[in-house]
Amino acid sequence: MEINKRVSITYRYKNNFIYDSNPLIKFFFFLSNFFVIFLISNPIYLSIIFLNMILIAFLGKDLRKVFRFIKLTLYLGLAIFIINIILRNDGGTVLFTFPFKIPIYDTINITLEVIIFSFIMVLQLILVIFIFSLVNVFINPDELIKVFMKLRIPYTISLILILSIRFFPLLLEDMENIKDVARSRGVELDKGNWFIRIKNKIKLILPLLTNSLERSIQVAEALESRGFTISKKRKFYKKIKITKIGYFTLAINIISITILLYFIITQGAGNYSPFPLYHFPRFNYFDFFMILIIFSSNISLIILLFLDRRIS
Amino acid sequence: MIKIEDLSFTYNQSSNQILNNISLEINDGEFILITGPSGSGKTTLIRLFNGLIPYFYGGKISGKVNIQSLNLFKTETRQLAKKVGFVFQNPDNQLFMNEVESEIAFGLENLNLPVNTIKKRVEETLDSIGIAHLRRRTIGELSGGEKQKVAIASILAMNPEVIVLDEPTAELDPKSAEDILMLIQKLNDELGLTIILIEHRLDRVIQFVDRMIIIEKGKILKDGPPKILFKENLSKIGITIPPIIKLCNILEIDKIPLTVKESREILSDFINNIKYPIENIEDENKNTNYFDQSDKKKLLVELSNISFNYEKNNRVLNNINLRMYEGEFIAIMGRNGSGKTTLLKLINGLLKPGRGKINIENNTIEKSSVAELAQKIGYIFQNPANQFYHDTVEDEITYILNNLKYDSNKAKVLLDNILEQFDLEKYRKVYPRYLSVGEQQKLALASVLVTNPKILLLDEPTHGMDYKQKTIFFSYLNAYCKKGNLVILITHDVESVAEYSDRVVLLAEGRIIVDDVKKNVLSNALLFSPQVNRLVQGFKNLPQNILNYHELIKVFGYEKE
Repeated sequence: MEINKRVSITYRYKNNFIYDSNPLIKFFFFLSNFFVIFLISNPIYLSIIFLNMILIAFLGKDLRKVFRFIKLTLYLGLAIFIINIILRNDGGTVLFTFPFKIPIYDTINITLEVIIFSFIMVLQLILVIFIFSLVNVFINPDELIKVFMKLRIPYTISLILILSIRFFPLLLEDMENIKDVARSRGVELDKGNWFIRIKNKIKLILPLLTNSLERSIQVAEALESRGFTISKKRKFYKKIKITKIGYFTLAINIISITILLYFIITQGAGNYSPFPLYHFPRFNYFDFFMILIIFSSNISLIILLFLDRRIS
Repeated sequence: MIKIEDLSFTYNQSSNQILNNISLEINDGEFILITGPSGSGKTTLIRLFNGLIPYFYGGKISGKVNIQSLNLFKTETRQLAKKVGFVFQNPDNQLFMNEVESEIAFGLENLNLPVNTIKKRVEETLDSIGIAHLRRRTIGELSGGEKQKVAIASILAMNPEVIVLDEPTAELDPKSAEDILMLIQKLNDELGLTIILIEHRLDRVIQFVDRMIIIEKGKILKDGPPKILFKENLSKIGITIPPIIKLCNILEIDKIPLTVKESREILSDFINNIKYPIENIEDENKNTNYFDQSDKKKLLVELSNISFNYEKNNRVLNNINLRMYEGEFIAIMGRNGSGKTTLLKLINGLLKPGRGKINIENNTIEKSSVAELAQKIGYIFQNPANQFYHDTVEDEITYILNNLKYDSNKAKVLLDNILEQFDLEKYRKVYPRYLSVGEQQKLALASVLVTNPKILLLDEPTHGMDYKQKTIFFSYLNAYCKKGNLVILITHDVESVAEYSDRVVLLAEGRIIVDDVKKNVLSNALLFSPQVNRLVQGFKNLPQNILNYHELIKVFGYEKE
C-alpha cells in the first residue's frame, strides 16, 4: 500500500505510444506549449491547448494520474480567484457592492470583468501545472537527463533536478510519518487558532529538514562510491536516437510554433482583456486559422508519434 | 589484498579517537564479518576501504593503508571505486535513477567505459543477480529487498574486487534478508569476490563466514574463524550470539555449531546420554476461535470485525477480531505489507476503520481524537529520529507533558523520575539525535511512558540495536508489562519473541492466521521457529515446544547459566 501511494504521482512505464515515443520530441512539444500559454490570454485559445493536453494524457492512458496534480492546484487556483476578485476593483459591469467601506481602500466592488480576468488567470495556472505533470508522468526521468544534456544543460544540474524528482515522494512519506508521530503524542494539528496551528506545523518541518540533511549526506556518500565525480567526462550508454519521422515531427512542431509566435508578437493573436468593459473574445477568420494551426500541429504530432512506433 | 597497519583516526571536531591502532590484513576471496557493539567504530573502519574516510569525512589519520595494492593516501576515491564496491544500509538513499536498468548503468557511465562494455556488463549483472525481470521497473515500485538487490547489482556491474556491505539487511523483513545474504554468499563463493560485511543477525550468516572480526571501542578485540572465536563465551561483549552457540557455551561443549544441522550432530551424544525427567514443559490450551481470557483478566482493547482499505478494492485489513488484555505482551508478526502497522494505527486512532468497531477499556473510540487517546495509548515508531523535535532530551519529554496538559510542577517531578528510571539523567542536555540508536529508542520509550499509558504500541522498535541495547530495551518493556499494562509489539525478530512475549498474532494478507500463546505458534513452524526449537525438532524424545535455550537447559537439569 505504501508503494501504491508513492508511485501514484511519478513516472511509471505503460506500454503505449505516448510513453514509448521520443523524449526529446515530447519535451520540446510540452516546452513550446508552455511558452505559448504565457503569451496568450484568449480563453478560446487556452481551452484548445487544454483539450490538446487532455487528449495526450488520455491516449497515454494516465489521465487520472495527471488530474491528481490538477487537484492539488485547484486550492491554489481558488485562492487566487478569490483574492483577485476582492482586491481588483476596476471593470465597468458591477455585479455586487459590499455594503461597508474599508479605510484607505474604499468600497469593494465585484465586477464581471474581474471575474473573467481571474478565471483566465486560473486557467493559465492550471495549464502550466498540467504541462508540468505531463512532463513528469510521460517522460522517463532517466531520459529527461539526456534531453537536458542535448539542450546543453550541465550534467550535475540535470542530475540534481532528477534527484529531486526521485526523492520528492520519499520526502512526502517522511512528512507523513512525522505527522503521525506528532499526532500520537497528543499534538492537535487541526485545533486552536491559526497562530497555534502554524506554530505546530512549523515544528514538524524541523525533523523533516534534519532528516533530509541526513539523507543528503548518505546520498552523497553513495554517489561517491559509484565513481561519480563532477569534472570528468562520462559516457551515456543509451543515446536518444531520432528517426526520420521523428525529425519530421520536430520540424512540424517548430514550424507551427514559429508561425504562432510570429502572429502573437506582430498581430497580437490570442490577446484578450475583458477590461474596461466586458466583450466576447475576438474570434474571426484569422483566429480560426491560428487555432487550426494549434490543433492540427497537435493532431499531426500524435499521428506521427503513433506511426513512428508502428514502423520501428 | 587489504593491508592496514597501525591505523588511528579521529573525526574533525571530535576529541575521542574512533579507531585506535588497528592492524589488519584481508586476503583476496575472504568472507569477513565485522561485528561489535554499536558505536564501536565498525562503520568508520569499513569507510576506509573505499576512501570515504578520509576523503569524504575529514579527520586526523595516521598509519598505513593499502587497498588492493593502492596506497589510500595517494589514490582518489574514484580510482578506489573501481576496486571496492560499497553497499549501504538504506536502499533508498543509494539509488538515483528511475529505472533499474539505468541504475545499473549509472556507475559504469561514471567510469566512462565504452558503450559496448556498458551494455554487456548491464546484461550480465541483471542475469547473475537474477533481476532481469525488473529491468524496466521503476525503483519506487520495488520492495525493500528488490531495491537492495538492485543496489548490489549496480555495485557488482562496476566489476569490483572487494564488496563492502554496511548492514545491508537492517531494513528488510526476514525473507528478503535471507535472500540478500544468500546472494552475498554466492558472490563470494562463485565469483571469488572478497566480502566485508557488517551484520547484527549472526545466526543467518555465520556459516558462510571465513573470519569474524569483533571490534570494541575502536580496537580489534578478536579476529579469527567463528568456530574458534565462539569457544570463548562472548556474551559479555554485547554482540548477538546465536542461541545454539550459546547453548554449547553453557553446556561447556567444545565443538561449536554454526548451523542447526551441526548443532544436532554435536548435541546428539549429549542429549542421548544425559538423564533428564521426560516431562513435557507445561503446555497451554490451544484456542480455536480467538483468544479469550475474559474470565481471568481485564479486557483493554477489543477489535470486532475490523476492515480497512487505503484505496478502493485493495483491502489492507479484512475482518479482524482481536481481544487484548491487561498484563499481556503480544507480538504481531507477518510479512511486510500484511497490515501490521495499519492495525496499530487503527488502535491509536491515526486511522479510522472502514468497517467494524474498536473499544478501548470498553468504550468505543469512534469519536475520540488521537490526542485524547494519547493519554491511554503510547506509540513508538520504527525510526526513532522522527520522534524528536527539540534540542535536548529534557525538552523532548517536557514537550509531551505540555501537549497532554500536565501542570508544570507535576511535569517537573515526572520528568525527573523518568530520566532516572531510564538512566537518561546524564543525557539531560544532549541533542537527541546525537544519541546512539539504542539510546534514542530508550528516550522515545521514556517520553511515551512518562504519562503512564495503559497500552503501549511498538512498531519494530529494536531495529538497528545491538544485543546489549536490545536486552535493556526489552527489560524496560517487561517491567512495564508486569505492572498490568498491555504491550503490543510488531517485530520480525523471532528470537526476541521466543524470549519475551506471551502471545503471538500472525497476520497474512490482512487476515489473522493464528492468534495463540507463543508456544503454539512458534514451535514446529516452518518460518517462524526460533533456532533452539529447530534443534529440538530433531530429537523426538525432547518436549517439542521448547523455544529458547533457558527452557532447554532446564530440561537438561542445568540450573546455572
